[in-house]
Amino acid sequence: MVFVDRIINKSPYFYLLNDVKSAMKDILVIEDDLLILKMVEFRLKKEGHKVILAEDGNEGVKALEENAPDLIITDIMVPFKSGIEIIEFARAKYPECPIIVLSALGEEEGTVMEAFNLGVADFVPKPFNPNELAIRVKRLIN
Amino acid sequence: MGIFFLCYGFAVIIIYMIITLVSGIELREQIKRNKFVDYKDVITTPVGPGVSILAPAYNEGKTIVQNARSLLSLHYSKYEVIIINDGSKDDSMDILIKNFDLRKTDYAFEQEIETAKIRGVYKSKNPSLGKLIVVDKENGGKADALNAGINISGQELIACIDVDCILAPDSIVRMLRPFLEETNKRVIAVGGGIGIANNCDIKDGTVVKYRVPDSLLGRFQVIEYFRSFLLGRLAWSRMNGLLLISGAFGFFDKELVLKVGGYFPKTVGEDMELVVRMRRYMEEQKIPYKVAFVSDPLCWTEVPETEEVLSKQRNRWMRGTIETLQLHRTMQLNPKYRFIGMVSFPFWSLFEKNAPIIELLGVIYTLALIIMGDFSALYFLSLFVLIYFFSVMLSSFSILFQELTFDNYQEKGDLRKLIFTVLKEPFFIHPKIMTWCIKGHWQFIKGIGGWGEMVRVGFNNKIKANSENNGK
Amino acid sequence: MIKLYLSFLLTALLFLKVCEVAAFQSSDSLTTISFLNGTEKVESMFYKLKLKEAQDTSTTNSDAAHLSQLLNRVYYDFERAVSTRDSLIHAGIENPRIQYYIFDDAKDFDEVIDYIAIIKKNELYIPKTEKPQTNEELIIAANRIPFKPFYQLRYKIFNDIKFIILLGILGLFLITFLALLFFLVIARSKNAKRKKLIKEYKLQCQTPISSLIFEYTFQEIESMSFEQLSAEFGKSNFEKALFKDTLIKEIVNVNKNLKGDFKDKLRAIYTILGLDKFSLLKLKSKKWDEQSAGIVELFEMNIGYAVDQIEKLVSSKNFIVRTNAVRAVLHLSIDKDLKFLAQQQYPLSKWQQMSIYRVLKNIPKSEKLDISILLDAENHSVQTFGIRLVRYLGKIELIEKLSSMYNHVSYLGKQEILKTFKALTAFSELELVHRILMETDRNLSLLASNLLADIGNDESIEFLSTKLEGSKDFKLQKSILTTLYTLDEQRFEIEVQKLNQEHIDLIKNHIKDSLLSYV
Repeated sequence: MVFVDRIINKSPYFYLLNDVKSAMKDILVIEDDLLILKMVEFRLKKEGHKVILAEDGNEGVKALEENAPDLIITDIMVPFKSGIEIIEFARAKYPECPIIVLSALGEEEGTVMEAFNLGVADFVPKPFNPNELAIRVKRLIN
Repeated sequence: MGIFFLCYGFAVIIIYMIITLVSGIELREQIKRNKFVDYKDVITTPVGPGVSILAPAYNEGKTIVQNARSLLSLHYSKYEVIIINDGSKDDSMDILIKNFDLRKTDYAFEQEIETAKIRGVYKSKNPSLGKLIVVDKENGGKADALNAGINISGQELIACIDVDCILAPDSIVRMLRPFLEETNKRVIAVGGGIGIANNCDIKDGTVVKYRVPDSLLGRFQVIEYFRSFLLGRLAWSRMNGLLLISGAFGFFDKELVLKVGGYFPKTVGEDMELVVRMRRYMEEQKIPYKVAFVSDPLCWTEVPETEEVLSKQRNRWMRGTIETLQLHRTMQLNPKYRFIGMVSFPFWSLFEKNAPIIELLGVIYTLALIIMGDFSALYFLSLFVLIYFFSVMLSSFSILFQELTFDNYQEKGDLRKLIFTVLKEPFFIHPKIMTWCIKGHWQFIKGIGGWGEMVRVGFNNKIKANSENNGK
Repeated sequence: MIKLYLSFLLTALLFLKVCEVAAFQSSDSLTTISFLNGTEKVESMFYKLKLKEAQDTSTTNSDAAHLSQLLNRVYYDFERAVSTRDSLIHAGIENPRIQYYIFDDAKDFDEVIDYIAIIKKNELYIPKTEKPQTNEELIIAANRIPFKPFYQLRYKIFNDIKFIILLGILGLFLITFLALLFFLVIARSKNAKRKKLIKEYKLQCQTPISSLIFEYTFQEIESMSFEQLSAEFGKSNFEKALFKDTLIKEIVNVNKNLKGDFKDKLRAIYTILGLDKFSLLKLKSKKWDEQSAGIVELFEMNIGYAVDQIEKLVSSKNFIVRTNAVRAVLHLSIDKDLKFLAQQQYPLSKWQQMSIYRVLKNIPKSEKLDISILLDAENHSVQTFGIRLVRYLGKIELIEKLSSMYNHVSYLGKQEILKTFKALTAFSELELVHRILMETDRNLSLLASNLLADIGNDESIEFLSTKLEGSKDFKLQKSILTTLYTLDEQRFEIEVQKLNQEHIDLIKNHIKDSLLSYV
C-alpha cells in the first residue's frame, strides 16, 4: 500500500507512533453509516489504537460480550437496538469504560439527555471533526 | 343477463387498466422524490410533529418484549410508544412489567372516547425507557384498545399499528413526509405499504433477508399485497379517493380522530370505517383535506398460511367492508361527497363488496344456460380465457412495479415462483377467496338484526354532536 | 397500453371493411347468371334476342316474320329469354344471343355484372316465387327458393368478427403478458447489475477518500492535478457516468458528516476531479429529478459560483426543485438575504421550513441574519416560520417584536409566539401572558399556563387560581395545576382542597408521581 509508506515516512504523527503504540487501546465503534465507520476507524488507527467495528445494535452488543473495550464510541440511532439500550448494556458490563456518543441528534434532544443520564462521558454531534474526536478519545483514555 | 355480465367484465377491465396507469405515474413520482430526501434530516428537525405509536396487544406474551424493543428503537426524535394490553389472558402484562421494570403510575387522563375499564397506566422506572407507556385494560377489542391509547396519547399524530408488525427503522420519518409537504390541504391520515414477512429472515425485530413464502397461499398473498398496495391504493390516493388504510400501519391526525369520536368498536372493519368517517366529516365541513399513501413497504407482517385462519380473516374483512359501506350508505352516489361519493364509494360497493356475489351469479347463470341447452361453449371459453389473461396481466404489472421500485425479493427463484403463482391463482385460490367472502356476506345478513340498528343510532348521534360542537 | 388497444381496434375495423368489400366483388359472371335465373324481374332491366350480322334471312317469309317478331320481343324474365334462344338454336338459326338492356340502353355483360351487384345490394328485383316445375317434390322446390347470398355473407362475417375481436384481445393479452414477462426479466437483471456495480464502485471510492483526507493537508490536495487524483480512484472509471455519480454521492455523504478542514479537502477533491462540472450539467437537464440532484450536490459541496445558475430554478414549477433551489441559494449566496423568502407568494410547507432551517442553523453566529423581515411578511406561513425561527435560533432580541405583533398574527402564529416565549423564557412578557391566560380561547390559555411555569411570579399564581375556578376543561385544569405545583406547592394543595373533586385528586396524584413528572 502506498499509504502505509506515507504513514511511516511522511506522517506528521510519525514521531508519535512509538509512544502511542505502547498506549494502544481497544476502541469499539458502533455506527450504521459505513463511510463514517470507516472514517473513524482510519483516524483512530492512525493514533495506534485497535478499532473494533460494529455496524448495528446486535453486532455492537455481540462485540461488547466478546471484548472488553477501553472506550466505546456509539451512535444513538442504529438498526435493531436503540443506542440507549447499548449504552445501558455497556454501563452494566463495564462501569468504568468511558462512552462517547456520536449522533446527528442535537444535544437538547430527549434521547441525548437520557444518554447523559446514563452517564456517558462525552457527546460529539454530527457533522463532526475526526481530529476533534481523536483528541476527545485521547483525553478520556489518559 | 348475459349482457350484464359482459358489461361488468368490461367495466372491471377498463377500470383496472386506469388504476394501473394512475398508480404507475404516482409510483414513479414517489420513487423519484425519495431520491432527494435525506430522511436523516427529518429525524432531528424541530418542525416535525410528535407521534404516539399505539400498539394494541392481545395474548402476544411470547413476542411482545421483542416487538416493544423494536418499536422503541425507531429513528425519530419526538415519539412515544403506547402498548395497550387489551385484557390478555396470557401473562403478557407480567412479562412486560418484568422486562421493562414497569411501575403502575397515577396517570390522570380525560376519557374523551368511551372505552372498557382501564386497569392501570404503567411506566418504566428506568429513565432510558421514558418513551414507553403501557396501558393495562379490560378486553374490549382492537378498536376499543386503540381508543384507550388515543385518550392517553400526548402527541399531535397517532400511529396505529399491529403489535406483531415489524417496522423499518425509518418508517416514522417516511410516513411523516405527506404531513410535512402539504400546504393547501389538511392531511388527515397517511397509510403505509405492507410487506409479507413469512419466510423472511428476521433478526431482532428487523427483516434482514426477504424471501418468497413457501406455501402457495402465502405466495398468493404476496401478489395480492403487491396488487393492493402498489396498484390499488396508490392510484386511489393520487385521485384523493382512498377509503382504506390498513389497520396494521396508519398515521392519523389525532385532533381529527377525536373530533369524529375515535374508532368505532362495534364493527369488525374499524380501520376502514374510521377513514370513511373522517373523510365524511371533512366533506361535510367542507375543509380541504387529503388522505395520503406512502408506497414504501415499511411495515412487515406475518400473514396466515393455513386456509382455516385465512378464511376467517377474509370473512372478517368482507364483513368489515359491508358494515362500513352500510353505515355510511348516505354517501353512496351523493354528489355532496364529491369524488368519494360519486366514484370511490360506488367502486367499493360494486367491485369490492359485491364482486363475490356477482361472480356467484355468473356461475349460476352459466349452469342455468347449460341446463336449458342454450349454452355456447366457444363463447364461454373465450370469455373465460379473456378474464383469465386479464387477471394474469394485472398481477404481472404489480410484480413489475415492485421489481422496478423496491426490488425486495432478490433470490434467484423468487421471480419464477411469483409468476407461477400468478398463473395458478385464478384456478386454485380465487374460488376459495370468493367462497370465504360470500360466507362473510351471509354472516352479515344473519347478524344484521343484532348490532345493525343499534349502531346506526348511537353512531350517527355522535357525528351530529360533533359537528354541532364544531359549529359553535 | 391504451395506444396498443386503440391500434388493435382500428385494425379490427379495417378488417371488417375489407371483408365487406370482398363480399360485393365476389359477384362474378357465374353468380350473376344464376342470380338472373332465379329472378322474375330486375328493376329497369330487360333482354332482347339478337342475331349475328351475317345472317341468312332467305328462308320462308312466314319464318322470317315469326323470327322478327321474336327478335322484337322484350323479355323481363331471364330464364324465358334463355329458353327462347335455345329453341332458336334448335331451329337451325345460327348464333342467336341475348342482348341486355339497362335503362333502355344496350349493355355488355361486364356492365351487367356491376349493375346486378348494385341491384343485389339495394334489393331492386322480384325473385321467382313459383317455379314452373310445381310438380316437383317440396324439398326440391324449397331448395330452389332463391336465398339471398348477401345476407348469408353478412351474417357469417358478423359472427366471425365478434370471434376475431375476442381472439384478438386474447392474443393481445397474451402478447402483453409475454412482453411484461420479458420486461420483468430484463428489469431484474439490469437492477441487479446496477446494484452490484454501485456496490463495487462504493468500495473503490471509500478507501481513497479516507486516505486522501487523512493523509494529505489541504494545500497538498489543492496542488494535485486531475491526473494525480484520478489515479487514486482508477483513471478509467472517470469515463463512466455511474461511477462519477457514485463517487459524488460518497463525497457528499462524507462531507455532510464531517466538520472543519475536511470539508475543504473534500471540496478540493470534488472540483479537481471536475465533478462540479458534472453536477452543473445536471442543472440543464429537462428532468426535474436530475435538476434536483445537481442542486443538492452543488449545495452540499458549497460551490459558490453555481449560485447564479441555481437561482434560475428558484421559481421552478416542480416543488422539489424549488425547495432545493431556495435552500441552495440561501446557503451559497454571500449576503444571506431572506427578502425573497419574505416575498414568496405560495405557502411555505413544513418540509421547506425544515430544509431552510437546516441552512440557517449552520450560518455562523458572527454573520448577520435578519429574521425580522420574515416576521413582517404578508404570507402567513412565512410569518409563522419566522416566529419559529426566533425560537429555533434563540433570537432573544426579537421577543419584544413578537410581543408587539401578537394581536395581528394568525391563530397558529399566536400559538407559535407563546411556544417561543417558553423556549426563550421571556420574563419580560408576563403581562401579555396573563392577559392571554384569562381570555376565553382554550388552546391559547393552555399554552399560557404552561408558559407561566417557567416565567410566572406571585401575581401569576393569583391569575392561575382565578382561571382554575372558572375552568371546567380537564386539560386546562391539569396544566394550571401543574404550573401551580411548580410555582408554589402550598398554594397548589390549597387549591386542590378548595376544588374538592374526584378528578382533581387524580390530577394531583398524577402531578406528584415521580415517573410522570417529565412526560
